[in-house]
Amino acid sequence: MIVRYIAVGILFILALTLQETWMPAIAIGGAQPDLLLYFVVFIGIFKKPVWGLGAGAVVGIIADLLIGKYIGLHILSYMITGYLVAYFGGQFYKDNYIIPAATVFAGGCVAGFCYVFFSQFIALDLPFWYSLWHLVLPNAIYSAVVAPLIYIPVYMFFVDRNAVMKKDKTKDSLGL
Amino acid sequence: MLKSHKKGKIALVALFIIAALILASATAMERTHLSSAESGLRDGLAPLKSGAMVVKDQFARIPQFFVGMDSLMAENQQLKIEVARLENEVSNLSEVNVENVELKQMLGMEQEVKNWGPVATTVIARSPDSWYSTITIKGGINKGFAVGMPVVATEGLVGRILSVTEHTAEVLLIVDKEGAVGAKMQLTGTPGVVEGTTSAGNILYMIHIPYEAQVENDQVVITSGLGSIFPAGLRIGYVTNVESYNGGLMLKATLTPFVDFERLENVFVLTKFSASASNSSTGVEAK
Repeated sequence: MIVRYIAVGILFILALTLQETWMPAIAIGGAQPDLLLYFVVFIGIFKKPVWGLGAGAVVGIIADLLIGKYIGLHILSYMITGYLVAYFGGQFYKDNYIIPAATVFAGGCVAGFCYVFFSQFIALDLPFWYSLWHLVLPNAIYSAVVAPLIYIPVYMFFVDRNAVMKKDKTKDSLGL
Repeated sequence: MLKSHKKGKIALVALFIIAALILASATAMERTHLSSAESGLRDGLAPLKSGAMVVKDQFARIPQFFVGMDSLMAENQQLKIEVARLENEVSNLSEVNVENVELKQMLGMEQEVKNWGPVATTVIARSPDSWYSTITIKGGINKGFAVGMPVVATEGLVGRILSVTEHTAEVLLIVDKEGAVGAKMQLTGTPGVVEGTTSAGNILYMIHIPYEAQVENDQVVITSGLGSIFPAGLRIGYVTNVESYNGGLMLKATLTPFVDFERLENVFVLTKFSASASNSSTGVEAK
């Protein structure tokens, strides 16, 4: 269990580093995969809504501190995303690799919408429809396309295979 | 009982959202000092980012070995056309260049750049999301960098320092929505304001240009020095399109910056540029 927490911590630091160094290099028309969003969404898929909320808060705080301006906007948008993903995403099968792509796309749209929406109440005041169409949507699509590549190794490493096998055996013995 | 519990939850969520928005508003302005959490986080990640950038640059060189003949031929053809266009442009601009050299000598620009104490450094990271156009450079307070210092590349103006930690500095690029620059047309001296866009990309707009001004494609735009944020005479970009706006009362020019912000690696921080230096430059301009 501790190994997993350490691995999550290392992956998070790696994601923070790569987000600011490697991701801009693979950007297409300004859109780039959001590695921090993957954290919030994947934790939301595997855990309960309160975990999604917590993951959103932690990722949001770090993102806001790194940017150093409008601290609070990422916290709000990632928390809402984490909670909604965990609330609705918990119902799906975790081993279906289409699900993470669809969930990341939905999560990217929700996070982006929240960011633009809340920006309307402060000095940032992003152009609403322009931002949704030219920034939020391309980023969400790109993140969704890349999502399975990240999700598969994460699923392999973090999902307890023994527990899954035991569950299957129990189902078999019960004739389910 | 259940109803009041639900109401309490809603009130708590509303309170949290309001608190977050107040915090966001309070941190909207540029700050001279970062909190210890922000400084610690940036300084802690700086060596990792620096290493990741080196690895990325090595990877970026790999595809160069596998470029096909077709693309080389196409590129060659493209370059020939470009050379012909540039030769034509050079002959047209030779006169302007002579004038430019004379003006630079008059302004003592070269000497002035040396006096601004340029310190070379490298880019170690870029903005983590698409909302802002910023870069993180190596070196902070330890190299004498401070908030507001102009940052340039050999091609032209890059931006200004937004915040500093002990070992890193964050630079607001001129292509950012909030990175407005006082500018003028190099040839005609027509003033305007250059600003970035919300979307990420290498596009700038020069706004507030008087309608009667002579603005044409390929004209070079430089900093005006007004506002005392940037020195006068730094190259920003060239005009690619001109259109009217504000009910036809003003002109807006689309610019392509000289600096390729997506591939920017080495920059200079003008550590000794100050408002007085800027004013003296502007004074020379006025003469």
